[in-house]
Amino acid sequence: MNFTDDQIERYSRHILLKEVGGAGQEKLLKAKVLIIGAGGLGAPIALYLAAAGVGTLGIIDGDRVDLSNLQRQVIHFTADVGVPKVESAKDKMLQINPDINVITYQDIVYSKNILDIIKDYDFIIDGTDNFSAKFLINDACVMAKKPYSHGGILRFDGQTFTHTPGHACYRCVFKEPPPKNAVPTCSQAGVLGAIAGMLGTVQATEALKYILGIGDLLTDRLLMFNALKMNFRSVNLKKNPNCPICSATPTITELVDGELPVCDLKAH
Amino acid sequence: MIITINGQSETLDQATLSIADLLKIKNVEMPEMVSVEYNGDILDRSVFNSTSVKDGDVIEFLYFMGGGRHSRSVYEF
Amino acid sequence: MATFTKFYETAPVLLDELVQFEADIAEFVAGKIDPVKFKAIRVAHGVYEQRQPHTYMIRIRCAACGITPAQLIRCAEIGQKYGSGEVHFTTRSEVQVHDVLIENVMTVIRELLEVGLSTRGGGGNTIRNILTSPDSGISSEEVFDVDPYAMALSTRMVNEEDSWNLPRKFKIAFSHNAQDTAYTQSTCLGYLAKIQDGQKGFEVYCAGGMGAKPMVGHLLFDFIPDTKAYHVTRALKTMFDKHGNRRNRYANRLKFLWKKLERDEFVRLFHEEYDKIKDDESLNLVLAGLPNEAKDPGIAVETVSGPDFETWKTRYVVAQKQPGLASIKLPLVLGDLLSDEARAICDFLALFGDNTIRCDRAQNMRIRNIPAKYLGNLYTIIFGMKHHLAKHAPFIGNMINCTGAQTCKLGICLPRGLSTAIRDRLINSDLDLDQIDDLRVNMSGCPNTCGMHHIADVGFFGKVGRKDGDMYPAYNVLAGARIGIPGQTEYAQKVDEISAKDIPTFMHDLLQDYIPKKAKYESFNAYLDTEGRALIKSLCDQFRDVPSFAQNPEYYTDWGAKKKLSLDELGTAECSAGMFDMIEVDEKSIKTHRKALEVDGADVASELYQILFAASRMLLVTRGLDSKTDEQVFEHFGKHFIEANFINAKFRDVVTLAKLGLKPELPKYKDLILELADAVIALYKSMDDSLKFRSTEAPAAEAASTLVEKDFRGVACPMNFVKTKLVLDTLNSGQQLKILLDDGEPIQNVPNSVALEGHKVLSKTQSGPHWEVVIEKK
Ligand code: HEM
Ligand code: SF4
Ligand SMILES: [Zn+2]
Repeated sequence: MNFTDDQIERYSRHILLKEVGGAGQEKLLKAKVLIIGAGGLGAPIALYLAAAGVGTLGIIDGDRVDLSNLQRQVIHFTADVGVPKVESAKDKMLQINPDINVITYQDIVYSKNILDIIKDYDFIIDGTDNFSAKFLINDACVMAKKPYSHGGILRFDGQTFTHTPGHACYRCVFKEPPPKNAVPTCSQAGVLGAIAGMLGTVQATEALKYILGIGDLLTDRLLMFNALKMNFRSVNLKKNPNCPICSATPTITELVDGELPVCDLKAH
Repeated sequence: MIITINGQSETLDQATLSIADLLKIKNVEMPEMVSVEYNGDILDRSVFNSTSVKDGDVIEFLYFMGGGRHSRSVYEF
Repeated sequence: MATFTKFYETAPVLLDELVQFEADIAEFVAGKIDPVKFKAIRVAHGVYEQRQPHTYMIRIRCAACGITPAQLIRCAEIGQKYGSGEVHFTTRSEVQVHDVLIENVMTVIRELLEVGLSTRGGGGNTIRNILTSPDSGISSEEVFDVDPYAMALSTRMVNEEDSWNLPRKFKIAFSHNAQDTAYTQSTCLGYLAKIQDGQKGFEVYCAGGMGAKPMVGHLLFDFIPDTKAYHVTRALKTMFDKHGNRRNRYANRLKFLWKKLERDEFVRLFHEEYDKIKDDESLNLVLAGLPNEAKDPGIAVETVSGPDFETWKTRYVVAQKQPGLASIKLPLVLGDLLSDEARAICDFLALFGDNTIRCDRAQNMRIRNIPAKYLGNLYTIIFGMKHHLAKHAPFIGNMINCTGAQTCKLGICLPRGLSTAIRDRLINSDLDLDQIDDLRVNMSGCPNTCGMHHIADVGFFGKVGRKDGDMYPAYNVLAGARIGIPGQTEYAQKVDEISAKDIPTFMHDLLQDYIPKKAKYESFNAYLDTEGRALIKSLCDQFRDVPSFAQNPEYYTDWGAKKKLSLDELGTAECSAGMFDMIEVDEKSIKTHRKALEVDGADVASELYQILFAASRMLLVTRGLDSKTDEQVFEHFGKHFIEANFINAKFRDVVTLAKLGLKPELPKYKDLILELADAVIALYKSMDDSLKFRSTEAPAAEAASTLVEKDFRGVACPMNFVKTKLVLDTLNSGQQLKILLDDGEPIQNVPNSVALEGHKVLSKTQSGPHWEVVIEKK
């Protein structure tokens, strides 16, 4: 790889790391990561991965920026209200790092498009805020044998794990989405904005580690934190032999769409 | 008996109780939003009533997170 | 007078281009051109797709806001035959034809050309229509007539090839006095007429603009002599072309370049260009005469009298500085002049010559050079028409709105419907609207500023409101723009927001308060500062609680809409398509064909050809090269990329094969072709934002076993170590590297760090003020 002078300077703090070096930076520049959701989690993920020089970043989100997003979705600015989130995100990502290629999908993921979208990427990050999407992403990644990072935040809590083929998946822990009546519309849920940054940066770090092939991923481990107590813990997970999707005899063999809460559709 | 819940050791007065009972006494508001890991294995919801808790058990309540609502923080471990 | 027939001369090169455009349209219709690429081509030809697929609006250049009666008749006829049956007067002081189907686009363009009208630069990243104050040349309050400058500059710009491929659109305006009715501080380059020491000239502003991120223009020159208008434009254009951001379509207007460079650097780079040409008098604009004079056709004078005629004269007729001549404003309904009504008025105006019509920025038609005695005739014609607002106070026709979601793919709301609703509410009230001729109420359907809400006294731009999960049309409310004090322009600021359905009542209540108090305030801004802004807030508060969908579903359907607000049909921006999109098309095509190659039974030769073609064409646009045939693509690529050493010479032969059309030969060179595609993509990535090439150093592989030497003197910590690591990466295990380092920190740090990574430091020797270190790669 021949870095330009600007690239050498831009990525010098990576290159200095023994675990990264020029070869690692080259891996990052050649890597393709898909970020699903340009919201609270997607914002820090997109900013850090863009800054890190991940060469191709896909970002998918069907919404437009709303004033109520700005409390945590730090990639969008006040002037972006009304602009499609993916465009606003792309704008900032390229401002941080014009070196990279950003591919936008102004859409949501659903059963018919997800396999086609993820197939071009090396690593997928779930930054969505609803269960239908989370289960769909899990199922699609398991089927397509793609590694991905799961993330969820609420109020003051966050949790994340990384799935790679052969390791525990979301359905190993949560067999199916919670009953609808247990999940009130998302607009009623609060979240401390900075939590999104705490969890999103963990997810971004997992993606970088995966690409670089360094360290221990959060596979078979669920990392959880509570910001009020500022406690972090991880619980070991096991691949569930009865998992409906990743076991030897899966009961789920094709993707289906869950019902989306109204506010997830267009209204964010 | 003494068991470990969410990484913390707890002494329970009851001599026998099921996972379902445990969810109740631990004030888990919405059991539908919880998966239970029992000594390292995820329990199927259908056995919450028939699985009894024993001295020395290690139990984790794992919550759905993202899009749902709990009225209090769930991971205040 | 006989000499004048047009406001600009279309360029011969444009004719050639049309042939190409026609071919492109045919290819697009046949599905052979990617829609994105076609968009980039067509918007620069002033052809925008509307919200309705395959339906287009066509923008027609009107330099100095002018159009002749014969030209306007032609536009009206075209509207009748191929469009929506009307001509639209826009906020850009030009005209548009709407609802044209793709198969008619070329016919429309040709028919326009026959009367000297061009659509080139109607949109896209081009020099756009050059605007002036609409009463330039006839106002008794002007410094001097600026129309001839805008006309001559348009003709010059239309003929310059680099006008059509700028980083982003480039808007120019001339105001004839400090009232600044062409808004010179809200545009990329603005000239404000001024006389200094008896010399005509301009105060020059630059890098302003509206849009979703509005910026007020900056003073570039306090004064330039009028003979330098071209030089300044030329220099700024060159500078923008060289340094503007071509990669990020959301931050590529001139205003963003100013923001990035800041004043000193911007001005320095401008002067670098300006100083090269400023003394070249051969570049001076050649001003054509544009006489504002009366031609008396000697037709019968109609005498009209009565209060209605008098009211109309007070409201809409202004005496020109030319004695005996009158100028008249014709307020249009939402900027639309019906085709069949255009004929009547244009036939009449033609009697008085070619210089009788202007467009203004409030989407109205201006008429000039009419001898006052014929005002009765004109009155009869206007009131014989149905679709105009001349019976109302001027305030009504002065309201501005963009086309909005009705035709525009970005629109959230329908400002045409809103404008109509406000009008209906106000004309049926007892408010004395004649008091507020000068009040500007502007509306846009989304944050883009096509309806110019930033320069409004009261402005609105569309947004989505939400109640219990249902979406309703709403607007942000802005107020308090300050225009007309040179150097002190301020844009309207957001005050609050309100549902679309409540705005007519809101406007009524606001005006009801303001009109009686108007006399006591120096300006609307003074009213705002004292009490108006507070009233706006309290009115919005009053309307804050929108009824739920169940309570009142009407709130959820916009003015003029047929169904509940929905964002499903929103599309992406039309006007910013450019180079970037075209490059992406080829980049995507490389990927697609690469994938197709891997499929069993693939037509390998043809896939490889497509890859080679896309790779060769991908970056031609950055060199301003337009290729009409495949052969030319390969030819240009060979000449401008391989011969110019941007791409390794080893690819020359395979490109030649393709140029000769020897497809069956290609499978033999599969790896080489794929490598070439990678090389082109890598080259693209190494380009900076202005899409210029950065380092052109050819990748020189280090010889396998020899001692490599690098000089890192003058390179500070930690960059010296970074560079050392990168060189080590390219070496084989056991190979040696000699580096030169400065004394001090570098020699203390670098060898240790190298050793920590596991390499062996063989020697460190001081030689004069620097050190030689020999390392063996692990
Ligand atoms: C599909 C996309 C668009 C279409 C079809 C469109 C169309 C138009 C039209 C028709 C006008 C004249 C308004 C009238 O009198 O009816 C206009 C003016 C204008 N447009 Fe757009 N527009 C589009 C997108 C944009 C965008 C994305 C921006 C900025 C980011 C923009 C900025 C402006 C501005 C600033 C003006 C007028 C004010 C001025 O003179 O600067 N437009 N546009
Ligand atoms: S302001 Fe928005 S809605 Fe109106 S024409 Fe421009 S882009 Fe379309
Ligand atoms: Zn599983």
